[in-house]
Amino acid sequence: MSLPVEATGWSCAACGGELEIVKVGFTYMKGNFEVDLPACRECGQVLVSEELATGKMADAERILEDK
Amino acid sequence: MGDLSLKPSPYESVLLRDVTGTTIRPGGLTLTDRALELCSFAIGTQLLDVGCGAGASVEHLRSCYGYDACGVDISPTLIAEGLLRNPALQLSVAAAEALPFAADSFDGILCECVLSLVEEPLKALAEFERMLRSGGSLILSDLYVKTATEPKGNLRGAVTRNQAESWLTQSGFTIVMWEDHTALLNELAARLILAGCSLDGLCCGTSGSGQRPGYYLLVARTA
Repeated sequence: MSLPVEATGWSCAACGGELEIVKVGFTYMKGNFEVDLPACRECGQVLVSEELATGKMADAERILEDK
Repeated sequence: MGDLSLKPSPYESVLLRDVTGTTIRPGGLTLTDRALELCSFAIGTQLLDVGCGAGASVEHLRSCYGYDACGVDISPTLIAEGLLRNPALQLSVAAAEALPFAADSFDGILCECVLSLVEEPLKALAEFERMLRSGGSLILSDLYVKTATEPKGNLRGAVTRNQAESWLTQSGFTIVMWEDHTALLNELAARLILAGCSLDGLCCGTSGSGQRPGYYLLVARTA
């Protein structure tokens, strides 16, 4: 899977590794979710872009909080 | 469950089912299991799943519980898919308001996340009552409108809890259990958003300032 536009040009700040798209699991309000995100192929550090944080993730959070 | 229009139903969407799995509703089979736990049907009990989609629940009822289950759905696409997956399943195309079975054919009917999509819900409930034997159970889960104010957005045929209960009573049912499972609806909507799936046309829709629906599970019995 190719990197989304907002994730191109990044490398891992911790180890300098390249990013690849992986399935990342997270838990919020007792729900377990999976989302495809760019992550370092060496150490696994995940990149959450501003667009994702303020877009889909914020929308999902609002719905889970029943707002 | 598919709708009556000729354009493809959002419930037939591959992207949607990548998120929901084989069951296209909040809670999936977990909520079905919860209802079955409350009903305690004996092995071999004859059950009908109205709005069965591709028959995942029918398969579950037969293989995990040993029930004599069959299903109907308005979508020929989903029924064909179910029969392709498992030709032994008893699945047929039918509307909830015109079920192709004789009266008193079943001990239980499941209708999960479907009634709010049905054109004539009262007619469907009358059919369910006709299909069920005396003391039979109706397992119903669906969206509901949580406040009396006019809902915005895409709540389609969802009604208030009072309205749903009134319909059931009017149709000859006694409600024996009602539970709120809105958290499961919200979780499904969040999963769909994170997967990049549009909520347009789906039961868990509404965005922005629109009133969000709740989700209930109930069990009702015939006299």
